[in-house]
Amino acid sequence: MSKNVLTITDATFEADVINAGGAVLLDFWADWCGPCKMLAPVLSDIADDYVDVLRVAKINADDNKESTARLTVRGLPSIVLMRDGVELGRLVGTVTKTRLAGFLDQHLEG
Amino acid sequence: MSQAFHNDVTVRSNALARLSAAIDAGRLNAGHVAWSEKKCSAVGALIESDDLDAWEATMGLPAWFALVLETAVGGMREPAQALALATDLLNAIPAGIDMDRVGSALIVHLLQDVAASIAPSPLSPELSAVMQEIISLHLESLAGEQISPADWRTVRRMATSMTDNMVDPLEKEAARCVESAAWDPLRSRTAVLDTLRQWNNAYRIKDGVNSGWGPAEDAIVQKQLDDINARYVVNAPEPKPNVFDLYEQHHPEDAAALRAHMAKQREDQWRLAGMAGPMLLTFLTAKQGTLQAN
Repeated sequence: MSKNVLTITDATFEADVINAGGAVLLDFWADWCGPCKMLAPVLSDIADDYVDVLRVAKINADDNKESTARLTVRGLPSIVLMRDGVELGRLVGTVTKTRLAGFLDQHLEG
Repeated sequence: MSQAFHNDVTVRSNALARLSAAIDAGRLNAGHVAWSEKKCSAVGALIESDDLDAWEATMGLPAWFALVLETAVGGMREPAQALALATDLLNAIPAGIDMDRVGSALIVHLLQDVAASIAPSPLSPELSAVMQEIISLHLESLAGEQISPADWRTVRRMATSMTDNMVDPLEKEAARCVESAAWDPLRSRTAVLDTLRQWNNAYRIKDGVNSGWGPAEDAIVQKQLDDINARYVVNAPEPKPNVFDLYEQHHPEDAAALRAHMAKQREDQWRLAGMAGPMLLTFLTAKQGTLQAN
């Protein structure tokens, strides 16, 4: 996993996501979720490529139910893009780097 | 420029010995470059690390290859098959060769297969043009030219726009493979992996392997889960009930269908490994004649 991928928990969610400011890409995952594991290398790549414009963070949905409920995460993997504590958009399921980069560019440019 | 196994075949044999030891200890598990005391992925076992930088440093092989190897080997149903495939694939790489740009060659190989064997024939002018544009960039990269990130981004946007406008399911899947390939594998570690996965998806559509699950089914499950959440979870006292447990109680047939869908996703991973392994072995074997040790 890239050194640029953070790990967030219920205990740090408020400070690292809501109050931290700036853009955060949250990856809700679970250990039993095969598609989550497939997505992991793509997120690592994105974390490195977009290190100047957003933080990428993983959050275990099973271990952090409060944050998972707070963002009404239903399916895994769920990728939620937030800026200054406000959701900009989300993707559910596996996604290619091409599509994830397109999603980020759409929301972060301009 | 890297040197496969640092031009030392014991680097390869030691790595395979580590994988074999992990299998003997019952620690091999699916995953991507995972490593811990209790379980690990195939690539994690080869280098005893979960760090792709460590892969490059230990093996003298590029990170893109680790991810492709992981998909092929990690998807084997039996550990013995995983070890045999890892051995065959690593043995197909001569010690000392530079594998860095082989990623572009593999992408070109996959795209040419999409054109020849998957996409509806004849190729539509749009798909043909974008595919040729992306193949050209990879061939320029193979020739040693530096392609700017802006050039890759431009062709990527052209490709995704084309995909979005396609109607035929098979052509759309072929286009998804093409758009995934619009990255430089030297800078983007997942470029080859994504192209490989989309190549497999395109074959799945071509071969009529339909999971019976699509956006409509996703939407139904989403609505049911939202309803359950609103009715039984939001105002429940702590500890709140698990929404998926409630889903099993209130919609047992739909929950069973969801479980079956997830099982098919796992089958897809095995299917990808079953296709990727032989393809990769054939590709590497064919490449041996054109690759030279540094």
